[in-house]
Amino acid sequence: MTAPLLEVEDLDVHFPVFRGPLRRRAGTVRAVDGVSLRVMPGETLALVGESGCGKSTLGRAVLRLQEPSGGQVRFEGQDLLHLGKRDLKAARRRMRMVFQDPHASLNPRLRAAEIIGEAFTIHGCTRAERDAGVAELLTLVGLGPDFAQRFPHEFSGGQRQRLGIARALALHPSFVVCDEPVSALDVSVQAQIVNLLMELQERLGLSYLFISHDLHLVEFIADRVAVMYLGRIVETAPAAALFAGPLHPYTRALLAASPSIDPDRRAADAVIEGELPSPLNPPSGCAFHPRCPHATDQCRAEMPPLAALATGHDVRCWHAADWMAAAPARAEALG
Amino acid sequence: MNAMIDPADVRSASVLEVSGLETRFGAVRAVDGVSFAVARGETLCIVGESGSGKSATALSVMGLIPSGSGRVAAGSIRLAGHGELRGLSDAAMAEIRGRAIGMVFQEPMTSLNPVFRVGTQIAEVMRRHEDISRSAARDRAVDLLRMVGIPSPESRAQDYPHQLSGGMRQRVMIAMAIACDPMLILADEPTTALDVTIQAQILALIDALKHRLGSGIVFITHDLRVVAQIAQQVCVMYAGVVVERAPVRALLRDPLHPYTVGLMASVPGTAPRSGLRRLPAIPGTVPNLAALPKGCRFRNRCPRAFALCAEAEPPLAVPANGDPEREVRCWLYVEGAAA
Repeated sequence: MTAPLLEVEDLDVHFPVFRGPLRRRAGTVRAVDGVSLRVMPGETLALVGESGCGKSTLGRAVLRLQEPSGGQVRFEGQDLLHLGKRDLKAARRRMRMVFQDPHASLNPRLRAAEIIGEAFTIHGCTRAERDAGVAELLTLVGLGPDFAQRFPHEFSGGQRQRLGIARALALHPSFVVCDEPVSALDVSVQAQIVNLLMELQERLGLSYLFISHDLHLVEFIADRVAVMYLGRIVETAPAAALFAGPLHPYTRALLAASPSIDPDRRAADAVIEGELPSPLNPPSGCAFHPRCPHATDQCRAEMPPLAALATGHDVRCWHAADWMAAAPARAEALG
Repeated sequence: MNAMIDPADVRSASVLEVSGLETRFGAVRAVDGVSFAVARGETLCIVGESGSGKSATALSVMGLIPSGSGRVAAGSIRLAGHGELRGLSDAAMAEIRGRAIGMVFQEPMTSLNPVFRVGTQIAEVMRRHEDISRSAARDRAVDLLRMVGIPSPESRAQDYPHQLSGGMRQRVMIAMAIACDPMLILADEPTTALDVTIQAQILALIDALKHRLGSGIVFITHDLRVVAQIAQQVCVMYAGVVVERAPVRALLRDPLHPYTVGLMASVPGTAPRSGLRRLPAIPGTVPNLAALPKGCRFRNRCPRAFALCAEAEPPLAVPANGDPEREVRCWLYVEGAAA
């Protein structure tokens, strides 16, 4: 078996919260709380969940754009959290990020060539290497070298995201964190960018951590899926298994709420109540129990472990074995 | 409250009739001859991408096109019981907005006043449009908060907008929109900023309110899945015009216009899965509205375009040998036009 490209072990990202005129410490937000995951070479692991669940923080912590409070991140065999500045910089050639908003994440005063070329300069490449790299990358993402001297405002939304992808691919990374890379784009342009990401993955052997709230897109693009709720992974499984037989009640609720394009399958009956609880004051026991239609006393008292129910299919639910036994029906709303 | 509507034709009559609407921002023809009608108790979805003119259409109906930058150049906007809205003074339109037309926008935080309690803001809508005492308005505000599914509405009425979650703020917006029993609710991407579980709750709420109040709803969205969940009738807009109009089932089961076909295919999970992991994408981007190409606006991106498409813009018409309840703006469906 090949070694994982990225291994995250028990990762925590905690933020202290200060309140009041004396800025007393009022508590801790556990944005990411004991998360473990692996990404294999050439694989797409999708991270799904609602806003505030910690998926973006996790994505940033994996790249050390956000310092984790605890745990381990191993990337290409290196212990990323204990790397010195110089080694971290070297590792960052290999792990990059594509951001959600291509309007906000590109410097409006730099030309495309400068935006992409920055990485080459920072990592000490020559001018000739840089210029050749820029031209190659612009072609790779379907823009072409003619775009090199243009400013971001001269690009459409889709073209801007292509530019963001070109910037991420400078210096030949093996791993890219894609944080909602298409959700700010028009529907007809989304498909173009999704196709580009998949084509690049096949050509360059990239691994993606694909952060998204769009389950339909995730079903299409991901090899494996991890579902997050309030800082923790509640279910992880190969994409086909997860969508065919989701086991955690939250995953089921997400799938049911995800609207179908079939007008005869309206989701009204499947609506779950309530909203994501405050991460400052998380519920006791299982964090999902206040919204869970199946919660029992055990769920209210004790946090369930993330337990393996089938090969590669882990679920954080006391009753997961029951759902498994009850021959999980495919979530009705999806399709 | 809507005493001017004869109950006898409540079902059949349109609440809103827009015809030949043209809205321009300088040289940009944001809305270029749009017509549609909404019946009582019906949800019409206007679906399109950015630049399609869907939001400009909504702003035109509400009389909210900023006079410095744009204007409604032609067409008519008729609201049942109020007649022609186009040409009404700002003061007259302000009377109609909030009373006869309720509005819900995408980002509730920018539509709510951050320095007033939400109960006060809802009561203010009623105080403005109806002869109602302060305390009665306050009580009704609490009732409305309960009706839109806000738990412990008495204490929530005392909250400021920033104390509420995005989903709760959108519920407050909806409570304000329905405060005066409007005959028409205009919702512009009301669930786009929300998570899916909250989106499902809000869509269910809007649908339930429609049945309860009997209002007509114009629901603007870019998301065909949301259309499938909430619409009865659908208008697909592209580059300032309606390219296809149909009942929701007909549209989603059997889209006619090549743009609708492409839009549906590019939604993940709709096209049959092929071995190659690619989504069927529409090439290119929306044309520049200040310099539209001659002929059909979609032809540069259309896989089925032929010579005639470059010469003349097709009319929005019932498709040849087709369903009389739908219309499409494409030469492929005009008898004798296709090569």
